Amino acid sequence: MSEDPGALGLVEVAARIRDGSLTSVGVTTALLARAQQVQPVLNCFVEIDAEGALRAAEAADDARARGSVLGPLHGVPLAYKDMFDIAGKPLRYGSRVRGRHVPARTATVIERLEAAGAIRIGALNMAEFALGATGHNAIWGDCRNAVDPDYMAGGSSSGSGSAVAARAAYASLGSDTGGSVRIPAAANGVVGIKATYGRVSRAGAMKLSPSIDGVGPLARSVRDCARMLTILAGHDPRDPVTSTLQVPDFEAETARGIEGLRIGVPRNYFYDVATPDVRAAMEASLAALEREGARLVELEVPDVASMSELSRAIVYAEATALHGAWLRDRPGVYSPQVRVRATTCLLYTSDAADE
Amino acid sequence: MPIEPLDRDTILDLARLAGLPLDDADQAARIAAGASAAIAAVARNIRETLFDLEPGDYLAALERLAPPPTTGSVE
Repeated sequence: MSEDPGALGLVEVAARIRDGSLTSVGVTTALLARAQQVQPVLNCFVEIDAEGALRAAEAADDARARGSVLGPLHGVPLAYKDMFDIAGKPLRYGSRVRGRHVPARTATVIERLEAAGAIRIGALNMAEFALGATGHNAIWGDCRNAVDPDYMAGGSSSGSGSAVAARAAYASLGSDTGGSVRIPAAANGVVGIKATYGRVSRAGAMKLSPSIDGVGPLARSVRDCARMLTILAGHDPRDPVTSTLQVPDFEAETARGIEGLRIGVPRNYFYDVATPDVRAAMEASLAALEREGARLVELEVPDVASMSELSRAIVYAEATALHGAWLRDRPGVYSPQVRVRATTCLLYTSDAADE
Repeated sequence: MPIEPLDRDTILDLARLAGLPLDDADQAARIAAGASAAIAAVARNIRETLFDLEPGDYLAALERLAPPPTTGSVE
């Protein structure tokens, strides 16, 4: 039986392309077939660019044959939430409003992944304007959970979680304001990280609430995610809030394991509305961390409810600035569900955010 | 979608249709360039939103949108 490249992780497939035991064309062809296979059920893509991906894969194999310097993602197929600018390519933001918008410049995170050798196989489904945590989208169709399509994929980076879990991409890019990387990662059983504010550039990424927005990777293992973050992180003059601190090799850090690591476990607020099965899963995860040598420290996070409300005020006030004109002039371009959600933003003024 | 700039011949055709006495090709070329620039500026104004701003320009744009403070200075 021939090997299924989709069964490999990102780090492993990158090594196999580098040592020549797999080709980028072979790997990309396999993933494109997988993407086409799962798309009718999961609807995780809004575009599959087979032609562009195979052209890039051929170029990657040619570069290796010529002995070119290879990046840490050389020839590895990825996919991105449909909210990152790529010069000359229309993008949608999960909406019908932006269907004809063609960016002039590529997002910094995409430039960094391309410089590392990554190949783009398509654009991923998302909540309309990232305003939703479930993965529903009335315009482009709902994205479904890769573990069980009867369940929601989580959002707003719904396709980013579902496609990676379905092995249709080795990793993906998402964005996270109030959980939009972490929720679909959890729902689909993959790894996602919203790094510290300022670690990853947002230049060329759709805005929801720039005071809180973050860009982050989703992948099938912590190590895969760490490699992605090491490539993505770092100062960018196009996004002045990005940190000038040196970026650690996050992947190398994961090799140290978690022996002796102190992990805070908040016991207030977060468990208040958790269902028994979620509580049980959480406890099982904590037990697994403890077995690996981590030290669990129970703690109480002060004022979580107030912080949550304050965060909502900031997000809604900033979203009002972004959506206000369209909501007033062209409300029909929004789906009814998202129009209601976005209109709520209009109830928050900058005064509310100040308070 | 990019807007095609107007050319000299289009201006001359439009002038003829409107019954205007324009038969100077150089002048028509200058009008075409000016009209194209004006159309592009209007199109930019219609299409560009806060979404299209670079992160570094965004906060400054928000500051411009904000109403002036009504109370005294912050101490």
